[in-house]
Amino acid sequence: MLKINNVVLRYGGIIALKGVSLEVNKGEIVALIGANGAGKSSVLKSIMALEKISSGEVYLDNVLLTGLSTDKIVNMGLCLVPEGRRIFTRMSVHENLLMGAFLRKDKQGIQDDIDKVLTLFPRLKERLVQKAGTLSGGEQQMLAIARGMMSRPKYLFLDEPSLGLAPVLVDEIFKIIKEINESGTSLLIVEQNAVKTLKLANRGYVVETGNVTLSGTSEELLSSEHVRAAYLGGH
Amino acid sequence: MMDIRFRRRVKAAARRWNNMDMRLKWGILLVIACVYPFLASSQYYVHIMNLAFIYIVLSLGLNIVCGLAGLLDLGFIAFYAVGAYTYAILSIKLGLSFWEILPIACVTTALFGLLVGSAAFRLRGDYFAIVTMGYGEIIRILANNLTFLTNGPIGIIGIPRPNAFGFKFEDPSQYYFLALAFVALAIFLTYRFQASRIGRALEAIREDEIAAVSMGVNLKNFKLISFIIGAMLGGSIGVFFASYATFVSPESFSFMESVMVLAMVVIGGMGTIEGPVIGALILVLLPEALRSVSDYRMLIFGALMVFMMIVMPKGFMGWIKPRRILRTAEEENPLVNRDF
Ligand SMILES: Nc1ncnc2c1ncn2[C@@H]1O[C@H](COP(=O)(O)OP(=O)(O)OP(=O)(O)O)[C@@H](O)[C@H]1O
Ligand SMILES: [Mg+2]
Repeated sequence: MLKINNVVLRYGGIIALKGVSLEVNKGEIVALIGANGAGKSSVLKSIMALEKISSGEVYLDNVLLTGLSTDKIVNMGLCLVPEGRRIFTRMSVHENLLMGAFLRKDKQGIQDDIDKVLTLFPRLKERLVQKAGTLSGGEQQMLAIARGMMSRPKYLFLDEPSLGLAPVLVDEIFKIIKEINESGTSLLIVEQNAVKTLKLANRGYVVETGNVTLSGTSEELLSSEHVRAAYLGGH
Repeated sequence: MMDIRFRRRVKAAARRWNNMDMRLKWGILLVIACVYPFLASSQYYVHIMNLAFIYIVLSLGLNIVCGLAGLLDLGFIAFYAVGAYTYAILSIKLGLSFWEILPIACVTTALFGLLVGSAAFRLRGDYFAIVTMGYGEIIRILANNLTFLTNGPIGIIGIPRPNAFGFKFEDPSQYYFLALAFVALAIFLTYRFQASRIGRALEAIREDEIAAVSMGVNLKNFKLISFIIGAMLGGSIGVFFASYATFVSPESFSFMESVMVLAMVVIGGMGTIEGPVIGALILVLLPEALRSVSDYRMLIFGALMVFMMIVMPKGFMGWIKPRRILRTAEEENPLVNRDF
């Protein structure tokens, strides 16, 4: 179980997280929704130690992660697919996948996992030697997720995986996310696409200006007046 | 001014060259380099090429720091100085041989690299560059003032020449192949390094620091490693330099030297392997070629440098590099081991 306890994150004078607590249980898909600037990405960055938190703790199966460097955290089975894809554009698709497995030493296992993610993303298979920068936006997003899976994470964090994608592609990505989860990876997903994400997720948290204001099962959140008004819009 | 048709022809030839297999390319260059001293009309031309070789290795070393790791190092010559003084002092005071000192000098420069690197990496960007400028100067000042070791501003004279299997290196053409061996080894090591897991990590850092860190790349460690590898290249050729000149003094290691090496890397094309080689050749050989116009030599040289940077802002290699979309780093460098 991944547990975040009372995390406070400051960017200079701005307090981005004002004591956020949340949990992701093994095997779950958890959604993190909220308006722009609410602090969703900051939660993920805090977990991965990409930003240094001022107080609070992050535990993985009761082991304290706070204070460890990002590479150690990746090594313990956590992985972030950052907002905005951030693939290595001048490397090939294949090299990007290898970078995802950067900390692993088991060559055979890495090769097996490459085969595995390529069956999950057949579009990438055809473009294996192509420079990643020449992929379409959707393909780049797929590559970003595939690369994230290459570290064989127990917990995978996706920051806006459907950003800028056509609806058909969003469905495709969500289907793949479901498959990733079914193969045993727990997921924490930040999304603007609240309805789709909550329908996919077991549980969800609503973040507003650095606080978790609401949490519950997906059904509860989907039927909550507050969530409907603020995030579900006309859906 | 350069005629447009001439420019096209140069570019086309350069591209053809560029698309050749890397082993073939270096093979051809190696053959040319091997016959050069036999065709050179005097020892002087061999000597100039020896100097060019020294600068090639220096630029390759700096290229690892600047080109691969993307760090602006303005004090690189310090490593060269540490290598040169290590040889000078150990060979004279302890009577150790060239081949014994070479690995020792690699270790001392690596340690020195580790020391200044871990201090400088606390700072970022411009501040980092300023600190590197500082340690470059510190080494020169130490060399000036630690008189009991370095003989101060007068320098150390009478440094022993190297031996190999009873053969003593004396004149430039005998040193030539030793220098060439350093160059060949430096090029080979740079390729290996670039293709290694560390090289790939550095490439990732250069492309997208946040993504690289998210993949588990430890920024500080990998940058430090690149710094140390670069330092070792600089230090080892420093050993060669001291044994070749048989004289070292603080003057040889001024800030201007660091700037020159940086200029070689930039003019040749940062981050490539041919780039620093070409840059060093241009900046060493060009002033020689301009000797006939002796009075205006440096003026023309300076103007040419400015002109080159305007025409080729990404260096010579960037200028001739075609937009190859489907070609990957793996094809460019066959030494890349696909499953690092
Ligand atoms: N590096 C930074 N420096 C300063 N302020 C930052 C930084 N990163 C984020 N912030 C601020 O912290 C707050 C939370 O940002 P965060 O990126 O976590 O929001 P978000 O919920 O992910 O938003 P979005 O949906 O737009 O991605 C915002 O007010 C943002 O301006
Ligand atoms: Mg965000």
